[in-house]
Amino acid sequence: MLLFKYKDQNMHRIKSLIILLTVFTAAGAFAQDVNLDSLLDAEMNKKTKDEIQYTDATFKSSRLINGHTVETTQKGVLDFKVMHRFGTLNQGPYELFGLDVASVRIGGDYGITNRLTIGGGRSSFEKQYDAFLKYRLLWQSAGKRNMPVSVTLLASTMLKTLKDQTDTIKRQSSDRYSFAFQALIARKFSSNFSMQLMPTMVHYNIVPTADLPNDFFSIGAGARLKLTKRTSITGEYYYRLPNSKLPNTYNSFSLGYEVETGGHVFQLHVSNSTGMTERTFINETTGRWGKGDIHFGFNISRVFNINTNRRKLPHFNAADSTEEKPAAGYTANEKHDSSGTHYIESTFAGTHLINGQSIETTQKGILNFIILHRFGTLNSGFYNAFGLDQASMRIGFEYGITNRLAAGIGRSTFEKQYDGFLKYRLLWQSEGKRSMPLSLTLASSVILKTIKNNGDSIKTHASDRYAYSFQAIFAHKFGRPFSLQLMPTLIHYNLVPTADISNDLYAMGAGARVRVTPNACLTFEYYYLLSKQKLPGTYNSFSIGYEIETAGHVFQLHATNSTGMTDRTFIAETTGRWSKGDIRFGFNISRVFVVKKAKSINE
Amino acid sequence: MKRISLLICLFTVFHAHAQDYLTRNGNVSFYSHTAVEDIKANNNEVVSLLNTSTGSLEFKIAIKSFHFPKQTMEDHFNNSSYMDSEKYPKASFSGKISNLADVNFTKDGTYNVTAEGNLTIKDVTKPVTAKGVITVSNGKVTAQSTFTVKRLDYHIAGEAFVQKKIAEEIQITVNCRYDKR
Repeated sequence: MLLFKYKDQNMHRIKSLIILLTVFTAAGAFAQDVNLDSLLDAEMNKKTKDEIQYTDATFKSSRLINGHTVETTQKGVLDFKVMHRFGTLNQGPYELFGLDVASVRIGGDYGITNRLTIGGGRSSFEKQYDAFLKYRLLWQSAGKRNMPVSVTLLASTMLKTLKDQTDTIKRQSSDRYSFAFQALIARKFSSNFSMQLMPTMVHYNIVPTADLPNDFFSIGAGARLKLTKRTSITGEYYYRLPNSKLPNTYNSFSLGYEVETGGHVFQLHVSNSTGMTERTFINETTGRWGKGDIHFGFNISRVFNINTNRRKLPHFNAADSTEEKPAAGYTANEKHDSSGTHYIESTFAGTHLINGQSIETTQKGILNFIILHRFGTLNSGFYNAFGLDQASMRIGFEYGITNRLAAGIGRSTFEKQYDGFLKYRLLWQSEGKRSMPLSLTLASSVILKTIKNNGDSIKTHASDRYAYSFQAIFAHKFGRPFSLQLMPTLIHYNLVPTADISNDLYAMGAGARVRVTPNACLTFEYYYLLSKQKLPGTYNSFSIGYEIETAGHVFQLHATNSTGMTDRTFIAETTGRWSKGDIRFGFNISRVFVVKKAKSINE
Repeated sequence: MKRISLLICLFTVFHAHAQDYLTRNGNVSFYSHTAVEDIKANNNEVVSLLNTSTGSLEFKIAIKSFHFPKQTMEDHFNNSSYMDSEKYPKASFSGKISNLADVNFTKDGTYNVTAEGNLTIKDVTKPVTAKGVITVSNGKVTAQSTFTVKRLDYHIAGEAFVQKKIAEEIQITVNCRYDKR
């Protein structure tokens, strides 16, 4: 190198060597010292500082218990909500602690933008209609913009359509309206704890007496505390300012428990309020915790993507971007080698087809909580919201003793029935080593009617209240798109109304499921009563359903001419007729709890 | 003169060490296919370092940078039933190109390679072998690979009822374009 030609060679040599060495070591060290971790951290930090990190899920749902939370519905999403309150716990065992009384609000929230939500609903309580607008003014955030709280403004209007029989003066239609305005202020302190304050004003166009103000002020407080990964407890309290109270009303206090599963939140709670609109629960709560006026209730919500612009992922790899085309090897999961027996699963999505049992039994170690719900008939007119004010429910549990044997119990509000059943899957459709063309499940149930019949002239024996049903359910799954089942049924009554009717009734049922989209199916169920043996004034039960499978549960919506949900009542005692418009809208929801670690039959 | 010599020295030094290729915006995506549902997510904030003289290959991936078509999916992905990204914010791969001799990084072209190394997700480390392609073009190096991993190996379980919706084997696609450091 050039260096070496200089006079002061030695000196330069040494110097250059030192320089060289340092540079070498430095560069060498530098090259090895690319710390990818810190590089990634730096990138991430830069990103968090440059972007606004909006706090999500301050609350899990847009409703805390009765009232709203700061959460708004995502843009283009329709959130279908059913809010349900039973009667009070102090009503005693005959009314099953309020379970026979139902106050329901059915409604929907739609996200116009991520901050603006519009919604409405109808409550059976006072036949109310309500509509609201909700705007998220401030959104808690960190990063580029730091915002300590979220603030959502809510304006709602409520219309009471219930006709007041005691009214002596003629009312104007505007008298039926009231309005509520809330500023919801919330902060998510951590992933475990969120709190909210709700200053509220409710305006009545008319109040019962002249000495009452038309505007009522209150302040609410709510909180959510996370218990486990997916469950949390919630509380909600509204304090009404002095001189801002209607006579004989109390502050609303509610406690809730919420379970979050893929895509939806299931909320269970106890409250002293019956109504589910701001006016009714904040200002018109007549129940008192101290007296046991506690209502058990639940909220369920189901989200539908109406108009969501899905974020587009860049197509980065040719092999991958060929949509829908599964890569080789993935089909292996669906084809099974013939050395083992593969049992066909999910012939039907739920253990209930619509009203009746399906071939499916609850898996071993699983507790299945099922709510079957039927409204009144569609022909009950606009005033009754086409049957929405009436509710007939069956609440039940099923437990899988083995993968083939399940036992269940239930209570229906219709005739205050209790039922218990046993279901055994004798044959299981399978492929492979042992090939079986169809599945056969035997089901037997006992139904006890506890409603007191005031018209009874003779004393009835306790045994007279019992009826039994026996079914053999044959089913075949013709691949994913279609399943079919046949249900020969025997119903035995211990007591029938007239002597010329046989105690044993025979019926033949048929059910089917047709898949319309990857996650949704249409279902059909029909029971044909063998002619001469019908009870007077009864018709065959026919139901059409639409079911949506989501993580962990099946949500079934349907229309049927039956009210009851036990074998006896819908097969033999359906009094409604489709042609007369006696069509009931209803839904089934089931929630699965794993009691013991469950294994599929194929494992 | 001294300065020039120093500069020359430095250049030589750096030239000798310029076998490191780095990316800060590499792309890693995954794909899960079942009869019920297809799940896809994409991350283009992957940091990776490739040493062309030793063949060593390193990746660091922030879990929260995986983006899904649906926000709710992304939330679930990050929660404690799946990736638990609060607890395990990063995944990494550390390995080597085993047939380095087949690749000429100074000549434009496409080379088939095999990478072997350890993949760490949720603090679980398992050996992985992946076939891929290295493309050299105008001094830029691009690495592409598709391979599968078994999610249960890394304790990515999810709730019992979603099992039918998530494939046992997840297909991972890597696409990184490296710059000379």
